[in-house]
Amino acid sequence: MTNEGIQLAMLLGAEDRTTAFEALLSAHERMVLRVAWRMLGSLDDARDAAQDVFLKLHKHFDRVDPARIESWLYRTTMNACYDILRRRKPAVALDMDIAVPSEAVDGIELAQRREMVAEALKQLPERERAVIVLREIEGVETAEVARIMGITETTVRSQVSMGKARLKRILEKMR
Amino acid sequence: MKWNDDDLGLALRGLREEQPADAAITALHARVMADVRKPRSRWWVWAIVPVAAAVVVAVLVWPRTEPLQPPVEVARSPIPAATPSPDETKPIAPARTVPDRTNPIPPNREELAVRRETKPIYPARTVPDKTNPILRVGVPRIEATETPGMVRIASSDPNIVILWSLDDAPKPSATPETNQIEPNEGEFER
Repeated sequence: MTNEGIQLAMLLGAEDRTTAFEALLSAHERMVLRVAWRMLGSLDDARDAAQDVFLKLHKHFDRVDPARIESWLYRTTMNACYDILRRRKPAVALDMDIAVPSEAVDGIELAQRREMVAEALKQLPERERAVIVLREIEGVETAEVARIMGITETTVRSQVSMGKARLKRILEKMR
Repeated sequence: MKWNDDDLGLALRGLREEQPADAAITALHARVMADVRKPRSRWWVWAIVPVAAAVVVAVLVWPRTEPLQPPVEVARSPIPAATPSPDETKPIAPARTVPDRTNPIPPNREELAVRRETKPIYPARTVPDKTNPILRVGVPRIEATETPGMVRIASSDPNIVILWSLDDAPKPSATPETNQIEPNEGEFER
């Protein structure tokens, strides 16, 4: 279903509410689950967070602006992830025994580099991790990230910079 | 091991290409839709039921302090008036009626006609026997008794008999001036 189709479905009456919602779910479930997965580092927790997000979407279905559905989903996903992270503190310890066959980054396969970065992400503070996930992984514009996070664009750039520097330090400590 | 910005950026963008497994997405879809299609649990109904039951019990158990209301009298429909006969063309003057609170049903016309024609029977008037001296009210009869010096005065009431002594000796009497009994001459003088 296209975006126009989804918006039209959202504007339909209560009888087609479930149909419209399912269309939205199919269009965005992959993105929401992926972001939650990056934020939480666990697919099971990510599924719980994504489920909360979509149940909230269903509850506030009539109040969500169809034009800003992605921003709403990002923000709600971040909030759901924060809730799960607070419940499961202390934070998951970084598994430092990631196998790296070579000393040179160039020699490491891309998949292994991704795995290392994904593990290093878990060590970042929540806010920096959220900014890195949205800006660097999801490719959301800085202004949009600022709106989602409720901070200024300058703060977004600052947190992206600090987060990347912290990531590099974490990665350099990995064997 | 050194990481430059390009390597880190490349690795981060590569994470976007890593997607969750399709099974995880399918499971998420199924869980969400099952929750959405599940009928809403009306928990508030179950919260209201015990409260309402407690209120009803409290109202029933609470002691009544107000006096009981008198029983409501059920108004009976009046007996329909019979159609007047042709000879009852004259209008019946309305009798002076005293409201009878015990019988709210007014008599119908037939009953009123019967009452009007029926004259009451009064008991015969008895004339008192004036020859009987006892019955002559206010005139007592004086009779002699067996005791000398005593007479009996019979009044109109047979239960009242007055015995009168005809002794000549003076009797103590009260004077109106002092309202005290004066002794006879030489009675208390020593």
